[in-house]
Amino acid sequence: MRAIVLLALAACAGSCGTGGERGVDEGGVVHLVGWVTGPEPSAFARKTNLIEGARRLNRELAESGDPRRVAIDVDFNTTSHDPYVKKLVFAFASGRGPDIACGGHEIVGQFAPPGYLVPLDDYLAARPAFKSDFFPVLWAAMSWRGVVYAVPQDNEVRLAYIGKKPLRALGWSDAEIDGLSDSVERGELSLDDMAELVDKAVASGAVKAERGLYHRNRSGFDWLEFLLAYGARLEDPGSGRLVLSRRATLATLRLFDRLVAHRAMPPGMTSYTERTIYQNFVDGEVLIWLTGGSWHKLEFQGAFDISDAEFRDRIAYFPIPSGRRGQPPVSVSHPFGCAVAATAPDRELAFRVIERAIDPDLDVGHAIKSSHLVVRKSSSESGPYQADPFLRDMIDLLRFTHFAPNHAKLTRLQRILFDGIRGVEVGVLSPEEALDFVVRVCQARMGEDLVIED
Amino acid sequence: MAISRPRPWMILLAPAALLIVLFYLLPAVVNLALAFSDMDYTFDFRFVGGESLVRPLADPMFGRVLRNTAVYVVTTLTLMNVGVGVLLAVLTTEIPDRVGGAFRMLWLLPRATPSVVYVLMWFFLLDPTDYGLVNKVAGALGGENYDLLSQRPWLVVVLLNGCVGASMGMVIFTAAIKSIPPQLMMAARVDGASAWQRIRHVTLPSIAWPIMFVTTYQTLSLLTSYEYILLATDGGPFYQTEVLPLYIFHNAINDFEFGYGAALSIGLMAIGTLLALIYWRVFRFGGRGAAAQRIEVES
Repeated sequence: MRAIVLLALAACAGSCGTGGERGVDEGGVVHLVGWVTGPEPSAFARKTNLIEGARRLNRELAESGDPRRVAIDVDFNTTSHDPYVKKLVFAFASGRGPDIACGGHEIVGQFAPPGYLVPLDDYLAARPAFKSDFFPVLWAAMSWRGVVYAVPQDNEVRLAYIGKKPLRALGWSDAEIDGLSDSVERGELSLDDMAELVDKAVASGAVKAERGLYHRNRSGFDWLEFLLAYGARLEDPGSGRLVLSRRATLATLRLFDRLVAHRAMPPGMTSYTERTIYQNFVDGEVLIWLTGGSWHKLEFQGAFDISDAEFRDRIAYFPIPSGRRGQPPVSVSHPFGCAVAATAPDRELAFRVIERAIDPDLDVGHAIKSSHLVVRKSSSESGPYQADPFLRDMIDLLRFTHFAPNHAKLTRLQRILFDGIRGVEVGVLSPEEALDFVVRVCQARMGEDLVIED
Repeated sequence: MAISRPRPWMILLAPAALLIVLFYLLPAVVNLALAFSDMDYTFDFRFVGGESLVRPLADPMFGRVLRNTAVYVVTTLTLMNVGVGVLLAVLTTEIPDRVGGAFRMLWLLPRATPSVVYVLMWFFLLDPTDYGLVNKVAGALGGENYDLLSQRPWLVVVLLNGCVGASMGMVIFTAAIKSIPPQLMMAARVDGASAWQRIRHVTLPSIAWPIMFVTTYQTLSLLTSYEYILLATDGGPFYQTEVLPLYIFHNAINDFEFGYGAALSIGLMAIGTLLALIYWRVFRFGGRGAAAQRIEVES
């Protein structure tokens, strides 16, 4: 049966194509196929860095007298991450996956268990200086059951953006606005305080009703931030199972219920298009864009043609406040990494392409172009990176960041949680009913992969 | 043993039979086998017997999804695919042919438009902020912004699907109306029948058979269609427009639960087959239904 299904998939993959020649040609050139994903165009260096990495590797091979050469064809995905992962699932299963697969670190949890990815520990052990130059926590994000399967490609932090125009209309001075992030970091502003601030902005007319706060319109890692903010853990380290906290889930659902009930945000937030969300926020019509990421700065600037100075004049940012006053804020990072497929014609050369593609200068160049964070310590100390105050701030926020567990069913948990939040926002469910829904669906759909705790 | 030569009818049927085996029977057999497994993204086939088939009973959302499917099929079918289809056909054949033809051509545009573009046009219309055309008009008239996608998702889904679906009925009913012998209409006019009486007693009885066909065809078509709902609401907000084929898509393709998705597909196939049999019986597709048609004109 597996064979029939895979045959059908192979036929489909054949019609879709994986792009490019592959294998080793008569001249000894190893042809590799790489897949990377944006979707934002500013992240295009994820592709060009792999091509540059192959070029540098060829130079290195020539200098060392090694007759081998590599040629790489890289496909840049412009849809969102979920469809990209789907494409990888079908491509790997049909044996037509890429030789180098880059994506969010959850690809490790998804593709290492079935054996599609090559363990990289041996390659890394032979390169201690290379390995130790990365922020150590990133290796944990690239691992499954203690084995590294991907090399970090870039990182980001998720945070909230706040419009300065409505804050000024509320009577905030520039000094107060500049000090907002520090006050969140000290735990002086909790999620409840943030909700009160939004209420005030709406009540005073600084923003219109339902324009106090916007959030993303679909499922994703961002929703886990709120569980973390209310003190939940996401994974049981002993068993590797995902964890859902009833208490933190209920607190999260109540937060969004309150925001809608107070007309601080629209009940149909999830029917807003991204373009509308960004336009309203950048125009200063909305106080808070709650589920932002470090890459959004460039997206805002690119989409609405605003300079760095205009960005600083219009927008401030802060980490997601804790749900409990006095506690530090939280953030969730979603580092990207590049993995070598088990079917790659030359695994070592594929790894070496990735190694060169993350040279510090390429790491910095990509980070600056895309508003992502560098992954190597030496990159973070480089002049161009240090000269960018926004990127410096983002590195600073890494103190509060968490990584989502590398679990194949994490996206399902996120989707169920998101459905619960949607149910509350559109008024179909009370927070308590939504909690019951989340728990019941999790029990039915996640089975032994999830622990539900109080 | 002598091998008999293939008969001409076998040769004629062979290409179609091959296509049916490859693209209908084989997938159905594979789907049936998958329904007895818990195959997931690893593509490992683990036989679980009837466990997948009874799993929907324990699924908290399954009942709601079935109800949604019934609402979607019945509403879209009666109001739009048949109701508006008949209305458009009758109206456009009652007016000068050139105008009626142009109007029908316009109505066919959504069917010729790629789904994504068509749904994007609806988004431009219904954007919940000031950018939406509906809200712009409402604002100009002094009204408030309205978020139809969140607050009236069924209205949007039925209209969005129905505007495409009604065009098929419109074309078939128009063809049927145009094939009514003109002397029947003339006789009705001579007898002093009003426009409504002509429609009621001549046109509608004449197109009863096409109405039965479109009803059957569109029921089965709606039962398995989901792409416009996926693009417009993705089944939301909160499962309000989640229909069975979309639920199968979400389970099998979003969550990689191929086994469960296949089990749900078996349920969908069973519902479709049952409805087809019911229509077969009620509409008497066996042959007597068509022969029994006759037109009565009140004196």
